[in-house]
Amino acid sequence: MDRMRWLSAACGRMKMKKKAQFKIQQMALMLIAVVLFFILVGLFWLALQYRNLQKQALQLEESKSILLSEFLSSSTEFSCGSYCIDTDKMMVLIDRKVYYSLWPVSYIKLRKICPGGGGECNRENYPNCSIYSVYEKEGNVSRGEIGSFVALCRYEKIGGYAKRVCDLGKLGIGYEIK
Amino acid sequence: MKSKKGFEFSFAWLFAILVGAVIIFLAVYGTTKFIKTGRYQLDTVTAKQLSILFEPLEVGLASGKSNIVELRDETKIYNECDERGSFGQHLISLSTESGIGKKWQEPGAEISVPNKYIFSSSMEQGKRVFFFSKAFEIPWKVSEIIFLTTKEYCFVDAFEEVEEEVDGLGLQNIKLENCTEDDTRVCFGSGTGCDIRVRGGYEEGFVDKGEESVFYTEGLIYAAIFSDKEVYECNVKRLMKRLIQQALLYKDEAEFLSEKCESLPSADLIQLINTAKSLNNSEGLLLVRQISEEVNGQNEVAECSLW
Repeated sequence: MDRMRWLSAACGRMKMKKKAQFKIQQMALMLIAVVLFFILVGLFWLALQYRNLQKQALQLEESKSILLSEFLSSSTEFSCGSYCIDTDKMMVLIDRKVYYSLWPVSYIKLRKICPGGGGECNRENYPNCSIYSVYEKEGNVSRGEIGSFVALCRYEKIGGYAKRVCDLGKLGIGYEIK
Repeated sequence: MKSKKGFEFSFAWLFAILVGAVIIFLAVYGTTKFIKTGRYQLDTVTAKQLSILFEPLEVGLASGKSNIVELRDETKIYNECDERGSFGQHLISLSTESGIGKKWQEPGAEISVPNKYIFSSSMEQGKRVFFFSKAFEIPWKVSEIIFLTTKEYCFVDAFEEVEEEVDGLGLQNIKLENCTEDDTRVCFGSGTGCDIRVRGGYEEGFVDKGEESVFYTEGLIYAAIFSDKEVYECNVKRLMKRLIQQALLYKDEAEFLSEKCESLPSADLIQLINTAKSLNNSEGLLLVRQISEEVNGQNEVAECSLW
């Protein structure tokens, strides 16, 4: 009789233990679910922040390029005095790698619009050419461009005297799109 | 009979307390990190925006430009000048005051500004930032130079040219009379109780700040007043590096144009390059200026003027 009572008590304790273990497992699973939920929310928020930051960085790059294109033509490396770009100087500035670190842009290109025609400028075909690739960053990257119209001037010997001759051109400044 | 029933500290309780503590710790740690990263990001973006604000300060054909920026909070602006490389660079970083956590945390990421010459103290602190720019010409326009300050100045017995420029550019942080105790007093020549003293004239001279002294030539007088000696000397060397590259460009252009134009200043340009290369500190500017005047004279009489 005693033995039977002892057995039923032991059985009850085991049931209780199993129930407690089940509760702990339930709680652990719940905690894991909650933690996973917060991790997912955090990742979603991070992705959103990253996209916003990327967008902001692109906007800042773009506005920097716009402002740079407005004022680059007046810098000594380009200017021929007032509101014009010196193409004689461009011929010696092309591929001058030391300047690559100075302008934080993707490329700087000058295009002669009027009169048009002719290809990329070099010492052989100058001034009968229309594109001056002043600077081009290496690598295949997506780019946007900001342009402004400028006068492209050079010295020409006319009637025995050196005179300044100007054409209409466009200064294009490229910026990277990441 | 006494009750033997006590508080049963089961495993479930222990587990809940432990996990709860871990979750609270993670939440506090995460929030702190989140705020810190947020501040770092904000400081970096603001520094980038500030560096973009330097672009419209290019003067073009104007004699100068000025601008005031109102920041949301008290801000520390760090200006590190690095003279290494072909042109050197500025490294601009910011730290904003905050009511949460540390009042001042480490500055945000450094933004590189290679094409500007910013004269300021190595650390400026304030909510209102005053900028103005002027062209630096020796003999051609080498670049615009930007002056950045958060302090209020009072110029005592300023040169006529300085007074005209302060009025013309509408510089709100520079007083020409009625100085207060909070102002940094800058005395031109004589005067007592001065924080900074200018010895010489508008075209050249020395600026003394305590035991430090720097030499200036025309255009650099404000730079010498507003900057630390370290930033000033570094920027002078950077300007000389730019001058050297531009002189090399003009020299090559002179050779390129030699068939069309006569008497271009090639030889004088080489002399200017060598003098600029040998400059060790701002006192060397005097010799560079003298040679630049000779080069300019040669350019004026040439058939095709290069600048």
